Amino acid sequence: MKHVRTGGLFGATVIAVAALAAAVTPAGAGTLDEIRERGYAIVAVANEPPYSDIKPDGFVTGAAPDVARAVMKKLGVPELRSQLVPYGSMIPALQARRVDMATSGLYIKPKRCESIIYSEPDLCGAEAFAVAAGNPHNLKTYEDIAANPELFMTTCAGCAEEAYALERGVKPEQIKVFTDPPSGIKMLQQGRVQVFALSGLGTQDLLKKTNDPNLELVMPVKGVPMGCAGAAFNSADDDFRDMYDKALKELKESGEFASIVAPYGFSAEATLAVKRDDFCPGN
Amino acid sequence: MEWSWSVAYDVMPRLAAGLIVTVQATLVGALVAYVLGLALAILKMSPYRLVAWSSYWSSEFVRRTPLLVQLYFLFYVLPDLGIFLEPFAAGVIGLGLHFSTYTSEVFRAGIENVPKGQWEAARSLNYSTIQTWRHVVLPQAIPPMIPPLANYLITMFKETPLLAAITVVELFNAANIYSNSHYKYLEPMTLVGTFFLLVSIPAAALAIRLENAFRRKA
Repeated sequence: MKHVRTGGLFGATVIAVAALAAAVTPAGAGTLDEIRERGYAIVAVANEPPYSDIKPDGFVTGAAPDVARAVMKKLGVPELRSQLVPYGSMIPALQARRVDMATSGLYIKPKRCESIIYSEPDLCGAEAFAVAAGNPHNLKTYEDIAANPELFMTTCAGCAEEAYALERGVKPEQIKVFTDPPSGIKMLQQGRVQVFALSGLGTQDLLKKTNDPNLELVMPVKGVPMGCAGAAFNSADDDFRDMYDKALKELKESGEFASIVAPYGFSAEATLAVKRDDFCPGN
Repeated sequence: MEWSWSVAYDVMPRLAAGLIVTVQATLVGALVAYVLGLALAILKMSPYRLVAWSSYWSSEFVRRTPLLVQLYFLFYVLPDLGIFLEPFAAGVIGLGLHFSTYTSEVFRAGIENVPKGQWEAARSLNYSTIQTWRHVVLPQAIPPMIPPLANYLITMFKETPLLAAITVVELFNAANIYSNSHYKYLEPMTLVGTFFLLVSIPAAALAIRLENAFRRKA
């Protein structure tokens, strides 16, 4: 009896280990099949309207998820489910396969392309600052912030804006990273920082919601490239990405793409004019 | 997943700077917690009902709400009421205030352990209230309190990463900011854990020695 019980335990252990091994084995080419079978894709979003917006009932919308939803429908996946992931953690989330893709307006940047792969660009926009009304420090570029080391700026950790600032001479001590964009605006209102930097449409949306006459929008920020984002994938998922690209192309050609992004304030023409290879050749 | 020494080397200076902030926040926070805790303990034992009652309930209020919520309140809400605190100041006040409610219980227990006869003896010698506290009660009450107070110090040390929520760049936040822009978590977070262990294990050993030392005396 004792022998049988040990055997059962051993058997169970073997099954458990095998199941664990299966769970951690990176899914490669089969990702899309897996998603189709599951019936929904798990997407990472940062909840930064108008790029991505999680409604109180959990429904994920915003320009990037709406494009992704239309593309995934073409690929036979009817539903998206979102996971709230800060921008800085999206790449690890993709690498660890906590999500199938990131659809949140993650800019296509060469450094990121070393770790993940992107679809063709789906959203392009200018950069912006939020500052006190009247722009007392006359901040129009990142160089203006660098020129005045007494000033503090806020943006998100690991965001393109942080890199723009550092590349243009802003000192790391001048950057106080916020935990989420609304608390960044709060820090600006309270004078903890003098400038808030983020994507143009994101900043505009926040200022509209905050509706504080003491704040002002500076857009576009000169001297930085227009940011273009795409859906991001695990670097092993190139088959999935290629099929996504094909469906995205159909969407762009049919005009449906423009009708999705335009209401959010994005220019479809600006996006159609660029390619992924402009940012990350061979990604 | 491969350990990279170059990443570890790269992140080390930031972590060292973060560790200094962590230790500072712990020490200043502990000072606040001890001073405020002692005051709170004495107030709680006040013969005046209203004083005892209000200090008891305000301490319960702080103790029964999460530190993280209190930190957000100090950092994001108080400025709207005209009280503007720097991140570090808000952090140590939050930490100290929260832990003062725990330490006040240590102080209260220590003080109540002083035998009643001692109070009566002090009164019969015509000691004033201040003299009684200073020369009779506290010298007997404080030694047994030291080990639990040391343990709270270690607990506070481990709670400091909460200050990251209000933009204090302490050890954890320094690693987190690095991770967010370099997409490396293994090395920074392992090192953060190691740094915490390097400080908390010797500190815990010291606390145990203190405890033994005072037990032998008692």
